[in-house]
Amino acid sequence: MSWIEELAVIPTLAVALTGGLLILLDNRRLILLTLAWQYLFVAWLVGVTLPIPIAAVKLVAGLMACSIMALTLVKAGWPDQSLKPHSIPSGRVFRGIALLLVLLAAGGLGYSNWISVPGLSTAGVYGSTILLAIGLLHIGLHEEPVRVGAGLLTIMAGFEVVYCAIEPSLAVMALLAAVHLGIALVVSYLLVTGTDEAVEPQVIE
Amino acid sequence: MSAPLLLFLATGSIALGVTVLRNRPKSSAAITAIGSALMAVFALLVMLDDPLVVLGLPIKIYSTWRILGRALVLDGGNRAAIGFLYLTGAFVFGAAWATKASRNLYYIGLLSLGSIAASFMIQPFLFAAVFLEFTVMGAVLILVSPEYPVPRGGMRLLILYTLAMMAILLAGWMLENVGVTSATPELARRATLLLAFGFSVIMAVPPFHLWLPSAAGETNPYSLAFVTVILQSAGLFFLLRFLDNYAWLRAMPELFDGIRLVGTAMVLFGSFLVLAQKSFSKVMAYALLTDFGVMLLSVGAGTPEGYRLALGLSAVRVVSLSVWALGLAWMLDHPRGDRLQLLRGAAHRSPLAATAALVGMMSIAGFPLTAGFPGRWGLLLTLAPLDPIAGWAILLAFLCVGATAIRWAYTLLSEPRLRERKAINFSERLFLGGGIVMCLVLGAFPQLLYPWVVEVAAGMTQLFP
Repeated sequence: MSWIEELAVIPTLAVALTGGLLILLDNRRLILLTLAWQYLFVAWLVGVTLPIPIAAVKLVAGLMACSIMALTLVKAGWPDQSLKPHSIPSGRVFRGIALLLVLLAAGGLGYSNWISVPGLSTAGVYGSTILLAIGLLHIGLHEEPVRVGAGLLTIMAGFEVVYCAIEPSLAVMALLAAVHLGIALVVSYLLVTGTDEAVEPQVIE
Repeated sequence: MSAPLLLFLATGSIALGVTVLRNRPKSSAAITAIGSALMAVFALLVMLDDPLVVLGLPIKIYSTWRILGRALVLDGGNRAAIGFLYLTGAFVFGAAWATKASRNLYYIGLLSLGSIAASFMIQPFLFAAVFLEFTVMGAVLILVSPEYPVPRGGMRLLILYTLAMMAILLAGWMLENVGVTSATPELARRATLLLAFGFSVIMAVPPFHLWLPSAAGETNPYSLAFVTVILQSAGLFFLLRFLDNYAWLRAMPELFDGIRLVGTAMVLFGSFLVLAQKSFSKVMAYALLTDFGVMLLSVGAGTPEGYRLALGLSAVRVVSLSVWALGLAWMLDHPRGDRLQLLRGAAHRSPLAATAALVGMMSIAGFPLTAGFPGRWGLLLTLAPLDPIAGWAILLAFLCVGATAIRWAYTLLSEPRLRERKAINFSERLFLGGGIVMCLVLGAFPQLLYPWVVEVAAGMTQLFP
């Protein structure tokens, strides 16, 4: 058993931490930085079941996705640096409680090995469940493109920890990496083009 | 050279060429429409795996393109579907210049068609879900533009399809590797649940339809029509391929009852909500929901006749919805000017566009003498003896969408808000008039379309023995 497998509990806890930070943070810079760190631990979790060079593909794709979004924001001068969601209860306390509940649920699901995928380590089951749960919470709480992007990428990362164990083909790796980049590109486009509300036309009588 | 590679190269090259044509919507529309039509001809007619001579040079076009250990195959099982897809694109792109649609519609629309074509060709076909995800990414870029900057509908679409992709990929793994059959009920239940979720998203079954009304209020109607037409056509084909490939799925007695139940619920949901809408684009969204429901009802019949009708309805939707969206987009004075009050009397300002919108809407409703009628009528005759409730639901959809059409006709014909007529040139007149005529001709002579569309499913030998 290599050190990557022996210490697999570290990335499992780390994704819970980074996922939690993604929910609690309001600063775009920190969100993207946390997401980039999260990819490192996701690659570690993938590395438990797949060779390291292949797991590194996940890391590279993830870092590229983060870079795409970061470059867009840099070019736009980091607009609305501090994100304050307004459509859903947005306080940190609310998000913290929701996060705790979701982490508890994810822990319970991971304990029951709900995925039942052969060859997937216990750390992989817990890690993917936590990522999926936190990602779902993320997209449930927010409608802002960067946050939705971070949520979707977190869900995708959780899914890939499982899927790479069962479908380790090169084509699938490439396609899923392309999905990460595609999501980042779409989010970047929405950051440049989109606004929250359009101007309503007036009725001229 | 392989046919799939040629198809992608051509799609990519044309899309790249169109990006150069900034602010020239007519040229962009012409190039994408002609390019799409040529690719449809290529997909339908190219000689595969046989040597042929072109300009004195011997060449051989292979049906298979292998990449990273997977294969993309153009064969008898999918070439008609790909041809249909590109012809749909040609039809929609042709009139797009008259709608003030974003220029993304042309080149990203074309790339999206390429992505759907890849989803038809990929082996094993389960990976089609990933290509549908790429198509949705393109769809978001088409829906959100500087003129229509609110991204809510597009983001919801992206979220839902990403989740659906994951569900279908996992279900696919279970089906291919774990050995799901009717003899493994627990596994079959799990796989069916995942598939049900995935296809509910793809078919916009409530509550997974939420992106549609959001996008309808916030995007160009013609862009929305393009996105829904291609996503639904691809989704239907994907669903039929699943049914064709897995005998245990077809053998589940409750599956088709379930599909009919969902279809009926969709029809009822869309029918009641369409009556309450005060925006013409949202009327379109909910009328489409009833149309998707009717399509599911025909799949739920579980007979070759039902599948053929589903394909026919899907093809008719391309014409009806395009004509409706073309008329509506042309009438709009403002990107969000589709509200009831703003469109009051619009028929006096733009009579041809208002007629196109109403004829397209009536066709989606299934009015007699419009393109939508023969399919609905055929389905009613097929389904009513099997499932009377589904039959009543089809009638209810007709009544509700029809009543809404009459209400909007009254609004469009009422005292105009602005009196001066909107200028219309010859080519705009030609496209709007052509669309109306096409809706009526296909209503009177359905045999022009239906027999050809049925060929789309020629490769599904289990569904169409």
